[in-house]
Amino acid sequence: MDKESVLLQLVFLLRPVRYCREMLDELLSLIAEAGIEPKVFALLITRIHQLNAMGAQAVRLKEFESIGDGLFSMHLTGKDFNLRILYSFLPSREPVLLLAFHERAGKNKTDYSAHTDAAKARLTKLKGEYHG
Amino acid sequence: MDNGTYTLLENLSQHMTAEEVLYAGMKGLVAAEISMWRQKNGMTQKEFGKLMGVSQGAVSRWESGEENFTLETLAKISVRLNIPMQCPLAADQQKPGYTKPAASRSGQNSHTSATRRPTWKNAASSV
Repeated sequence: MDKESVLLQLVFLLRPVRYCREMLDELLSLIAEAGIEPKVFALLITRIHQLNAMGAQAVRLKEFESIGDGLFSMHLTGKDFNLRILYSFLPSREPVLLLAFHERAGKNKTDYSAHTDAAKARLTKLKGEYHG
Repeated sequence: MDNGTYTLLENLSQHMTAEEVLYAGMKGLVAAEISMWRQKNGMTQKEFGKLMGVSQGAVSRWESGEENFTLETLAKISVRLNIPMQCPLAADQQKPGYTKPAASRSGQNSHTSATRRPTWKNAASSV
């Protein structure tokens, strides 16, 4: 079975997930040289599955938190990495991944103020595209 | 089928082999099912560990997406949580009815027109 088939199987098992291209670029740059690709991949699958299954209720899980203004954060934390992905929900209630950044190792309480404006701007743009 | 998810996963697994992708994907999905079941049933990791006969640390590892579950452990989880388990290998299983997006490449925006979602079966059920 080739990799394409494997990916298609995973896509089939997950609901479609929407995301910003900028978020993907940020995430790729974060994992590029750290050798953590498989671990982040597995954890992202976990978070997407949880988010698609639970929607806004995902914040009941400790790996998710509400940060206000309709924005939420998912934590991807491992031995060698501590990432945050900000997300929100489209009018259709579909989750959309907006922005990814690296948090300092061991830090649980994150200051999101440096990222919320960018996340909100991306969300506004996406909502416009969605309605357009 | 939404090609955005495919593009996302394809990009994130650039340096992974097919085996690594499937392995990571399966670990991630199992981890998600366990954590959601636990949350749905109002259990802490310690309480869940007691149910499963393992430590809280083991449960944390299970939910981290890094655990390489044995079939025996999955069978135990399936039985005790009453979560149906399907055969992980099924040669005659019908393949999903879609194909790889025609232009799956970096730079593709996921905000294409809305597509039909696959049916998602909630395998988790209350004990």
